[in-house]
Amino acid sequence: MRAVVAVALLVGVYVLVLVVLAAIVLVDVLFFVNGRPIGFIWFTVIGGMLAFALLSGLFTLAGSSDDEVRGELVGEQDEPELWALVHRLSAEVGTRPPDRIFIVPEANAAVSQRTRLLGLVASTRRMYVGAPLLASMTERQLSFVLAHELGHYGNRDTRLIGVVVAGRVALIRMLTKLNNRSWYHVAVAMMFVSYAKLYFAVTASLSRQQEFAADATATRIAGTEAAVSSLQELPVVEAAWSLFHDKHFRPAWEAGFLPTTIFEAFAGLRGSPELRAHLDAVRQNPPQRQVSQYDSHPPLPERIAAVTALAVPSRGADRPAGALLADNGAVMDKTLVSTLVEELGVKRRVDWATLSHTAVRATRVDQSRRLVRVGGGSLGAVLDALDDGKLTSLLRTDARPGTATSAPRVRREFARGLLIAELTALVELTLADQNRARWESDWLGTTTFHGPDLGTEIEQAADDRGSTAGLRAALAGLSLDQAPTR
Amino acid sequence: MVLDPTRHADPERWGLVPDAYVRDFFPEEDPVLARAITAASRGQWQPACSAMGSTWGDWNRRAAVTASLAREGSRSDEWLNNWRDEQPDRDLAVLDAAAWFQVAKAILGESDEKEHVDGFHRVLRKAERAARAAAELAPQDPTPWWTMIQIAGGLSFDQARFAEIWHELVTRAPHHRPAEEAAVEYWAAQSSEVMLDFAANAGPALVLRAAFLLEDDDPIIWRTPLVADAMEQLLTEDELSNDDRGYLILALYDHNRFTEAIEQFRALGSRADGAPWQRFEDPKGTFLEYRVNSCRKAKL
Repeated sequence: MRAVVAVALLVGVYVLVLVVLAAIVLVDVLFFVNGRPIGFIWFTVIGGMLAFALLSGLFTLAGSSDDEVRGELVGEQDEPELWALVHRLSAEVGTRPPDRIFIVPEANAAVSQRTRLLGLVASTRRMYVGAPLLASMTERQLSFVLAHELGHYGNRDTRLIGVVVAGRVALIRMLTKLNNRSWYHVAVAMMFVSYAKLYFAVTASLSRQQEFAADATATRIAGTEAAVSSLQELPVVEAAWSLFHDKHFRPAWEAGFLPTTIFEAFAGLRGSPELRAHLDAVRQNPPQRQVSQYDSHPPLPERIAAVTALAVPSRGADRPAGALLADNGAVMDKTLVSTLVEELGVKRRVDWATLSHTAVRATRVDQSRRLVRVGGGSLGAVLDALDDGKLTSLLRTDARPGTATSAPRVRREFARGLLIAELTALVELTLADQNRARWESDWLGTTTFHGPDLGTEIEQAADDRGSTAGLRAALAGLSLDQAPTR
Repeated sequence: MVLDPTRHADPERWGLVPDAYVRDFFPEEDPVLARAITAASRGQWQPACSAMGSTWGDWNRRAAVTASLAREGSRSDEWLNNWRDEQPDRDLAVLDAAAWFQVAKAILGESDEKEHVDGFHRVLRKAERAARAAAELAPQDPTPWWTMIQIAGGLSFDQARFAEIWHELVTRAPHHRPAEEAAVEYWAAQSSEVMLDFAANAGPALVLRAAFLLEDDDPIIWRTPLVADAMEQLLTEDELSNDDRGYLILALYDHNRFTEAIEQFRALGSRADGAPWQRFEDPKGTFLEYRVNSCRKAKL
């Protein structure tokens, strides 16, 4: 019954828009008929803008959904085993298989289809499979995730609900599109928002039901054990992936490098001892995700309880999901590399050990750049300036302590700390570039400097009554007149 | 205006000194110290040296004088450097450590930015070295150990290390109020339970200080039996320091006992120079705000 009301509301959007348009025309005509030319012109302008906004909103709603092409498109001949699994799952769910499968560099999976007229008409169906899932899950866990996504399209007894959910997606799309534009779009958006809220209120429980139904369908296929474990592992894979991507892959990329291995290294990160505690914490206490105010996913504990209650035994043996892929999963690396390489040109390919050293080196270059510039171009020049009593000219003048103090000593001491950090970076660079030291960082991002500890000597060199003698002695035999570059 | 809710708000109606007479700075109380601070700001160290010298043996007072001079030392260190060049002695060493601690505190302020935190820690480590040096020069003096207890809070020393420092302090001065207050702050960052135990052992005045440090995390702390009992106990005591009265006012205020808070304000008179007022950005303004609100809310 609720589903019928929801579909009626969806159709009501069109009715509402038509009524408002008619009202605008009617008012305009009345102005004209009653001989008020100024009012007529004003209202033609304002009404025209509102009508434009209304119609553009409506066309967004009626237009096709934006399932843009991303990731690596894999055909049946490329990845026969993955396709076979998807075909089998679709048959068991009782829905038609996707027309295309994309492997994407994201820690999730999705099925989308191009829709028209608020999801009433469907065309191409696409499946997106996250490479991090392929790299981290078992085949049965992945089956649960994919069957869940297919399940959204497969519950034959709830055909209308599919329309309802597609309607939600369409309305959200329309609201985001209207919201960030001119005033008349905003005015129209405000009208639609109240309407959409009503729609969401009516459909919220339907969407939750649909999630539970998709979980149940997927559990009957993959078994309770795989269902529970994949629901628990998803946040862990996501945490590991965002750490890998944001803290390791992307910084390296931005520094101009491309690692020789990607998903092999990701597997290394997942298994590394320094991350175990962090990932265990995520597993015990998954972060509360605030995806969107319109998100209708039920809380994870409820979903786990529901699939546990089904108690479906597992069938047959399990294996890593990556084994589904041809060519040792080479396609996973391609998801990150092929698109990016096209966009950004040539990158230097390096292994991870070199990469971590090089990435740290790049940060040290950045950290010491200002000092090199004001200090005369090299470490040697900076030390000469310090010997000449020009410490003050090397200090940053724009740095403010945490209190709004004007005390000269506090400000100077704060600036001295910043100078020491820059000088330390410069000294480390000098040592590393002449093969006396190197950096290493673990997957947590903790950097270790393997080289002499010159903290005391550096502190001495930056002291008001200090001396660079100790530091110079420690660096004896090294060339100090190079300006480090990235 | 009978209905005017602010009709009781005028502190003078309650026999309190007018707002204009309230001050948070009383240089005339200790003219020797005031002169030493002024001289220090001009680069002269001798007055500070004699002010410090006169405090030997009176450890609570030595801590107070050290704190005042160290604040000046955190503004400029020319006088400290001159002192070091001409007559490096134990008083200079004690002051040097305390001044480094003040510099560290001013670098951090209320910030949590990495640059400020790193600077805070770096200078605290300098302060620690200076305090160790001072403790060697003045083996009987608890003052460097008091500074060390303050540093321990900032550098989050582990509890075993803190216990060693605390031991060094109490063997030199069993009842060192400033150090007890610093220890409460150390424990605040470790565990609020241990902190309250420590404060309860050290006396009711320390319990109120502990409550003040905890109130942001635990808004009902003032109403707990431990704190309420400490408040009652202080009310029965004849002699209270201005600092104790200040914290007592916060406790009474939280218990809606405004008339008694006004009594404490009457005893404080014009003095907004003590704790807890000086912990706020505007000590006098905070003092006056609590005072006028107490007057407004009290029943005639």
